[in-house]
Amino acid sequence: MENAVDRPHIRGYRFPGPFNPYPEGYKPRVHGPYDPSRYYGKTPKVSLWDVKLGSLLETVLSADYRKRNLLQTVSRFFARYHARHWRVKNRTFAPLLQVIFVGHLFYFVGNANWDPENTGSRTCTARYKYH
Amino acid sequence: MLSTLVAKRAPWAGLKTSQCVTIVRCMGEVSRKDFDNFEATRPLAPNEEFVPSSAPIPQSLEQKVQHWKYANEVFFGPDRDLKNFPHPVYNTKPTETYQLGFIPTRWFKHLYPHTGVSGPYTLAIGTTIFLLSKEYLTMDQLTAKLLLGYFSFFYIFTQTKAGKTIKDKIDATAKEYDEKAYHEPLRNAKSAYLSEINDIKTEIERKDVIPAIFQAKQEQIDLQLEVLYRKRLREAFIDVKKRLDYEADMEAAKRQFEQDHMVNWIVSSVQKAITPQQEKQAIQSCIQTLKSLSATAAI
Repeated sequence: MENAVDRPHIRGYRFPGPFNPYPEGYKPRVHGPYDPSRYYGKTPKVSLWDVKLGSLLETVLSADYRKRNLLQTVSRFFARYHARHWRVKNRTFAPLLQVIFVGHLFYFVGNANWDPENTGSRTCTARYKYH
Repeated sequence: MLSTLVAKRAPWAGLKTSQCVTIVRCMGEVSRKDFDNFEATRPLAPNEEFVPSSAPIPQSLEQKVQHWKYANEVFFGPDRDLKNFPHPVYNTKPTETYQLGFIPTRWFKHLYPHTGVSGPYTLAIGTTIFLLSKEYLTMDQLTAKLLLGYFSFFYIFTQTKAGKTIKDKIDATAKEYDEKAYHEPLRNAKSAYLSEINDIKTEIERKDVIPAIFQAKQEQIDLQLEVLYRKRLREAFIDVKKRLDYEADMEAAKRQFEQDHMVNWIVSSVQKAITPQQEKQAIQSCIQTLKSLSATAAI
């Protein structure tokens, strides 16, 4: 029997058009329940931790920067992050601290004054000139 | 995946059940009381009282079984690669451990071959100190708050007894809540279902006895019928006997009466026929026979 479950990625079959939630390459009979933190493509993705420092720039520059891939990568990252840190029964304070720190990081970087004349908002409180 | 297979609930089904009133309320001037009044007075859809708005479209048991079978076939079929793609698990404790309170140990392990044990610590703390010393990160109100808050938090929760008590308290509260919100309802539901299963089992056992009971009842009814039949037979016998007895008595009485009548009639007619002279002759002959008898009689 041919069913939508066997071919979920085919357009207009069960989830028409852009409403198909499953990426290409996902086969329920092989992969089981859909895991949003996994990549189901043919060539497995390489973690940045496994990339040599010398070839890091090359890897980053030659990456796929198409909109679809970017969205899918970010989606997978957040699913993985949630599965690892947030989606547990007895949670720790660590993920909360992470969010606080990353938020402050964005805030500091966003409000940093890159102007060499140093007339910006936050760095105007700097007290030392010569170091 | 599983839910989409099993529930068969259309994604736009939620829109059907959402009411215009809720949207209007968000816009402004409808009070809670008006909404409650509306909810109380609005006409219900057919069978709406039995189907809550959050419930999936009701299915028959056969359909459900079919869907579960299909889901089982898909997820646990022969093609399933459980080794590389294991089933998703909901962890009770985080799989990650953390250094400095929030940095995953995994990162430190990745950096270990390049920097050694103290390298990542040096990197994190040294970078902060570098940024502060060069005043890329100025020590203003927010930075001071952040660093002080972090260090006090870290120190309290890792080094002091108070932190430990707070942790224990939080754990105890969480456990209590867990017990109250998860385990207790589950236990109640389990016991309820078990009692229901036991009831059904007893009903099934009762069902097995039904033929015997039916047979016994049938026999009883047969016996009752037999009793009735015999009673009626007896009644018929008694009635017939009564009638026959009556007939016999009537016959006997008739004959008795006839006999009596005939006897009376004959006797009376004979008596009437006897004349006084005949009577005298009879007495004379009697006396003579008595005389002759007395002459011959020897004592």
